[in-house]
Amino acid sequence: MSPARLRRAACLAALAALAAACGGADAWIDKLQADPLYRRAEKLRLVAPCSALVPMEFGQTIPVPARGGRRYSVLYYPVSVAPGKSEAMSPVYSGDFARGAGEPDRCEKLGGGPPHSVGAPVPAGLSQKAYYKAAVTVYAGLDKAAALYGAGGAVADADRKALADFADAFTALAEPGLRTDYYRQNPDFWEWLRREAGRSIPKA
Amino acid sequence: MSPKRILAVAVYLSVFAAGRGVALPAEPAAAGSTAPGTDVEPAPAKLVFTYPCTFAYADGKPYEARVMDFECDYLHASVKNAAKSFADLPSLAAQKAFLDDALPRADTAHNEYIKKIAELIQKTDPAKVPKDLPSTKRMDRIAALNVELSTGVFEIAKPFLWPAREEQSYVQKTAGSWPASWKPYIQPIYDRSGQLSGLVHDSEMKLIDRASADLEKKLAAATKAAAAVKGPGAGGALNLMFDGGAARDGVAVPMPASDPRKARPAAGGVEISIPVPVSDLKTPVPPIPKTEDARQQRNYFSRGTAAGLQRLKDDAAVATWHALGQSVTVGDPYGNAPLIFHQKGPSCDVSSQAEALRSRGQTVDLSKLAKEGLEKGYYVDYAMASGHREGGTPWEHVDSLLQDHGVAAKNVNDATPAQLDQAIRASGDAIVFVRVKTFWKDDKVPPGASHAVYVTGEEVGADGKVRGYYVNDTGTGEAARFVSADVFKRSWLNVFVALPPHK
Repeated sequence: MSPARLRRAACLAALAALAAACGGADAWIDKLQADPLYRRAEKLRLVAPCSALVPMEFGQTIPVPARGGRRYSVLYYPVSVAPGKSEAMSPVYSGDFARGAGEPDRCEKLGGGPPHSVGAPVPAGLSQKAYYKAAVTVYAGLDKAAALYGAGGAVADADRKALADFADAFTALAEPGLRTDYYRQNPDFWEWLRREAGRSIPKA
Repeated sequence: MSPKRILAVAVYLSVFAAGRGVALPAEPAAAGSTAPGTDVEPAPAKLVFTYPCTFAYADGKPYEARVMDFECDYLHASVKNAAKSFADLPSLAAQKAFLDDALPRADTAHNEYIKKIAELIQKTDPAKVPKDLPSTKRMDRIAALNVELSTGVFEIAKPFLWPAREEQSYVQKTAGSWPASWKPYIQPIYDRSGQLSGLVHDSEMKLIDRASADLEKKLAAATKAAAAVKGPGAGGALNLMFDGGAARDGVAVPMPASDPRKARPAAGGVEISIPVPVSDLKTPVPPIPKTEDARQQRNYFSRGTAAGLQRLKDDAAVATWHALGQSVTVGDPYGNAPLIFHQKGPSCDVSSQAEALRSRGQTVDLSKLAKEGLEKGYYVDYAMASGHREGGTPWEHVDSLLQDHGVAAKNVNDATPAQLDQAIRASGDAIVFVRVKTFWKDDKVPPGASHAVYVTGEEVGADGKVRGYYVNDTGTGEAARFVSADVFKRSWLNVFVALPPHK
């Protein structure tokens, strides 16, 4: 690439970053929706076998690295939405998909009794902009976290900082009433995160 | 009255009136729990507690002491498995001792309830909202009082409420009415709610009137200018009038050979020819309606004042584009507006399918259609703690009811905007799934939940680009909402149900 083009690309990148930093929620929404992992997770219920099972209207949790770090799992929960208010229930389905290509998706109905209310799905006071900004951080850090978790070795200091940012954003964003469900999805991951980053979602 | 604004109250009242918080006029508590003469007659059988409220002896004889309905509700709500627990008490004496202990507590709770209701009625008096506030702020404050009323009443009634899933309530078993004795407690809530809703409604109508008048004034001036300035300068004069000259005249809106408007002319839409010579400009019918019915259908303020004002602005923008000949409406959004209703359950996709069926002349009953969907396994639902039901439809079945009712619908995954555009041009409608958090611009909604809405048309610009879509949204009860292409792009999941042309 020529120096002029490089300069132009740098300027455009700086402008995009500025727009995201200074603008409203839209810039963060655009950024999140461009994230491949976000798109992959969002599409899960649109392809078989999940497309025959999981209602479109259900809420979907943030993906959590599954044991071994090679797949992600999500939970689906009934949610009542009306302008200005919403109420989540305990999850009814789970789904998981591979980090890489070539492995099939999976979805299944969870056991247990009928779903019960777990309160508001969005943490109180989290504005649209704050939500999407945190979501961008979570999805940007998720694949790295899964890779480090899957590798299992020592984590470099620079990565610890990234993991801590990821953990903070995740906690800020996760449905308050579903935190124990997140934990139960893969306690091994959350305890690993606590060891390596010094923070994680609460156990209970 | 704006029915959506009092939805919360209506929901509360339906639950409250369903026997969760029975509030009868205060009477003395059970006048003695020992029946006269029980010491001389043979020991009676134990008491049996059934709900709605009866306490009778196991041999069928009625219990001598009167237990009030609100006392029963209190027992039912405060004791786990109340009827069984009561039956399991070891003797009649133990049962009576229990009632002697519990009924005074119910009376205390009842007295507290009456006191708090009176306080709430006073607290939500709209006279406390300063009259000198700007109208939109005043409207928001009054609407907030109505929400405070509905949630407050629910909170106050809690000692008499029990989980909705347990069993049918008193009123459900008595054909939906409640005893006249409840009226002293229910009526003030209704009155206050009606008063608040009425004030909000009046403010909303004033805002719509103002937006409508502004638009008409602008359009009339534009028509006059067009008549005065003949020739090439006319377009420029109009553009200056509407948007400071940013717009360009001399449009030719590219449309496919099978122009859907020809097959199905827009009812109440803006009539323009393509291309539009400025000298032929007519004052179009403003898309901001004048009649109460049409305004109710549009339900501009269902998502709040800011969203309502944005919608009025959007409608005015569309009218301006039409006046300038910059865009045309494909489909029949205003003709399909009367199809709107506000869904009560998890049925956004079923509701959208019902609209598509009704638009094709089929008479369908929503509850029957929902039942059919449930029975066929097309959608699932669950009782929520708040009493209503939530659930939804998996992607593979989003078009199943349409197909079963003879409409050759087809769901399209990974769709492009061009495919959706093509589908709308072919039939004038479609069902799309959107991310409700961005579609409603609502902080409280989780990002993963998607929502089906019935697309009743689109606005196509002179350059052939889609400027926005018209939707009927049964989740908010909004009809013919114009959704800009930007908002739509951020909300659309790139999936839709393609519908066949209307016959």
